[in-house]
Amino acid sequence: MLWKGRGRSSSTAVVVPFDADRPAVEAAKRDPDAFGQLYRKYVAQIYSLALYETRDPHTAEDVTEAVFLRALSGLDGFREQGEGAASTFRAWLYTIARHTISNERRRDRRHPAEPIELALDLRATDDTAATAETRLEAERALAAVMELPPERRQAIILRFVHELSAREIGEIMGKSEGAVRVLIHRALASVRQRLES
Amino acid sequence: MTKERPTAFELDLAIDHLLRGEHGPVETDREPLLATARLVREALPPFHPRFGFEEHLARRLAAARLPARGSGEASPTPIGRRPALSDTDLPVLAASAGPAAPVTVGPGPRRRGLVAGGAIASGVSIAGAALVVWRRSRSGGLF
Repeated sequence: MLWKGRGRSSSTAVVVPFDADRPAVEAAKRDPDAFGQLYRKYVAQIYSLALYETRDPHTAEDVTEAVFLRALSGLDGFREQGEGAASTFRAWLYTIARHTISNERRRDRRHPAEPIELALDLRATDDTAATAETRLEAERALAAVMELPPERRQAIILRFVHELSAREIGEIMGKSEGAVRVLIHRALASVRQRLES
Repeated sequence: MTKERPTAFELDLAIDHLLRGEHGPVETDREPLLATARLVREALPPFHPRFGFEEHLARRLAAARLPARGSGEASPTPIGRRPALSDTDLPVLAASAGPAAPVTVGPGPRRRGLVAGGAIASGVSIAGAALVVWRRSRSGGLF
């Protein structure tokens, strides 16, 4: 959602992104009990991101827990900004998640990552209409995505699983919108190349 | 610094259409990458946490919010349901509580004053009655 902020000159209207979570964030700042609304909205998304990145359901739960505890304790310090890093609550929360996942990886290097097919129960999400061939193709695509370099993989997951815009992904990853688009373009080209080989 | 190529911009617009379930304009040179994008979208489903975990975390967050309420007069209202604090919740409370507010066990100061006043008044009445009985018994008895 967007609204036009008018400056002194009516000809220089500035488009400011409206954070859909603003009312819930303001309510949670006044009354911590209201944080529950934000938690319920984002818990599955953060868990999903953590699961794709850690490939371990238990670690994904630990990461999710740490993210929300940090978000709750740091909520007073969150300031919505028109532009720049972590401009919306969602981008701010995903940024916390990304840092938490990085820390978890550094801490937990001794455990090799499981193959993604084992870590994720893909059969639970299958489409009964899908043919075995389609499923096999999707599994190969998943494996190809998981073998991408970390930044490309994260960009693909944020774009296709979480449906974030290139701008939001840029805010989370500390990159420009254009750089994220190029990252995704290259990532898809790599996946395609791998599928064709 | 990465320079955005026009194809990356166009592909991103096409992905926008794909994510919205719309059919955007397709150009033949972009179609192979769009087909890969469709496949990737199908291959990457979102996942949901276990219900038990979601409720457990809701209770932990409710417990962590407790000290933020200040006076501690009200019991914490959980996310969705009332939490049952377990032993594992206590470190969260301890870690985030900061300096603990004094906890009064039993009646408060105002109520203590009333109780003490009542006790003194009762004592005075009993002593007065005992004095009257003693003086009457000393004066020869009126019974």
